[in-house]
Amino acid sequence: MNIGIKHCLIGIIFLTGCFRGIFSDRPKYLATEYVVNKPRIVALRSSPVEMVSGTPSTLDALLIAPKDATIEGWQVSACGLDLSSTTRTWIWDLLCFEKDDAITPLFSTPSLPYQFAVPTFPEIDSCNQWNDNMDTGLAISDTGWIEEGYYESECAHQLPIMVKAIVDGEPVFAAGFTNWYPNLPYHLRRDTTYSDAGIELNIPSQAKAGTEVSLALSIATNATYASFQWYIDAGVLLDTGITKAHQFQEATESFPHPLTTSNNRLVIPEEYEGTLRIWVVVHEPWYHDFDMTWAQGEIEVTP
Amino acid sequence: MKHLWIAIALLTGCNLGGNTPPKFQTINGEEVKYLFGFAYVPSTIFSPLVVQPNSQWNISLEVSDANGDDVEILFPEAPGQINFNQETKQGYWNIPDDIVDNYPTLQILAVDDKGASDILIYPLEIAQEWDSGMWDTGMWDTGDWRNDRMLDGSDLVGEFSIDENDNRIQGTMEFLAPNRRCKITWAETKGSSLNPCELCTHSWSITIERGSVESTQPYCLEQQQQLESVVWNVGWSDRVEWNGLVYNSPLLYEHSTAGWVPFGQATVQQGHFSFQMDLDTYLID
Repeated sequence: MNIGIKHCLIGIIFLTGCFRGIFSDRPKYLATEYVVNKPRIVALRSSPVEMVSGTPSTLDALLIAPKDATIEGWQVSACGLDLSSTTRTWIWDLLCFEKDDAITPLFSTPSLPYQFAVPTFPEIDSCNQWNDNMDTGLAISDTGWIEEGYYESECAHQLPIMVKAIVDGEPVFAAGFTNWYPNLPYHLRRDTTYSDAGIELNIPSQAKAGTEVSLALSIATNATYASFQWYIDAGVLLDTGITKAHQFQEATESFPHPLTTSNNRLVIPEEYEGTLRIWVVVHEPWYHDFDMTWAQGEIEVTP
Repeated sequence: MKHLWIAIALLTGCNLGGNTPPKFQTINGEEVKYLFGFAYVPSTIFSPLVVQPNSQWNISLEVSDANGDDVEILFPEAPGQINFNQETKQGYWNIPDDIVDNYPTLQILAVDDKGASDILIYPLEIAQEWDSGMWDTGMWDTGDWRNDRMLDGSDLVGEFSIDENDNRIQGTMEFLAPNRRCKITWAETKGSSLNPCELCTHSWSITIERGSVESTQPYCLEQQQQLESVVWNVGWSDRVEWNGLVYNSPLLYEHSTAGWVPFGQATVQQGHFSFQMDLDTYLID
């Protein structure tokens, strides 16, 4: 096809508003897909939140599924981790997992959380060259932000981790991207993650079918930039499946932690009876895929 | 690549020959415009709409759907709880006094009953009275702004071995404040066993002395003096519920005013006790 015609077609698509809907897909998914009607892995976390060569790491995941589902096992693997390469590797998509020889199995286990040893991989040569060539125009010692050791912290691979669970014989997948450091970076031994903070899901223990109940998730840290994702067995969440922080309280003498709270409202279906489960996942909206925490609660619903 | 973009547009955006997404017409009487398919409100392009705290802000929408589908309006990641009538497409937000974000962005999501959707981004500003005193002193210098994920703040880190006979501990503690270029090390630090606190499985009392300071700047020397004046009563438990909040494997610390409080992460494994305490200024002042 003539290039001009292609451009014209693309132009028509733009001008007629055909892109309307593309950018609302993610909010729509997060806002509306909160009822648990199939097995899904909705959160991942690791401690520490990034991988360091040859050190122990603990990985956990939140799998939500219908009540009668059985989790048979977990398999976790990385992609693009070349144990002999000294070249920095950055991978941005999951197509890597289509190449069998690029996959490094990390562990298999019947249950999570699971502590495993991150494979040992060599120092990265290419980082030094990149830093030497970088000229920010700022005198590093004058900024007050960049310290000795900071550049070494930046020297890491970025690779995806795939988590596969077998639920009732069927695979369920989730993936996240994280940095892989040859050495323990300065920042990692002192990052405060969401899973370090105390968490409370405040919900009624009992409720009548057809009523509206208030839900609140509190976390004892500054989570004012975090997203709160809600999942339920049944019903309607009036504040949708994704909320932001609604209250923030500074530390006090009697409660020496900041406290962040996000609220939601659940309308229980008229016909529901029995245990209704609720999950909330807290995570940063950008970066740090493995910096998540979660809480679960149950409401006993009576007719 | 161009073919891919066209395919994506056709499959997710256009739905040619199928369902058409809903479309915003007006919000609070103002016409919603579209540019390259993106909905926007002309009056909010250069400045957000200013709304008052402790007041009710009313929302009125007109939305059309070319296929005549029912359209549901949703407010994902709203700054507060929006009360909205799906029939009349009118609602309100009772704006509290103490809102978390004074510049919230309202996402208004319209979804038809076949799943096609459109989104309108509506920037808001919550009117606030500036505290000129705070402004004049330099807001960024007060320590109010803090990001745990950057090289900010300070931590106390401990690595100890536990004597299996008398439960005493011996090891190293470090104070780390990288943004202030301050690192203090207390090698050969010892701690005695305490009766476990109510929340603790193990508790110890640690005294630190004569730390090695890798900086001569006043901040670091002040920190050393302050930290060495404290007796560090710490403990650990696998899981703790404190004030309704659940903590896994916390470091517990005997706070001067709050009592025993979870204050960081700790592990006790194979005769080894390690911890990391996130020191905000409140704790050590």
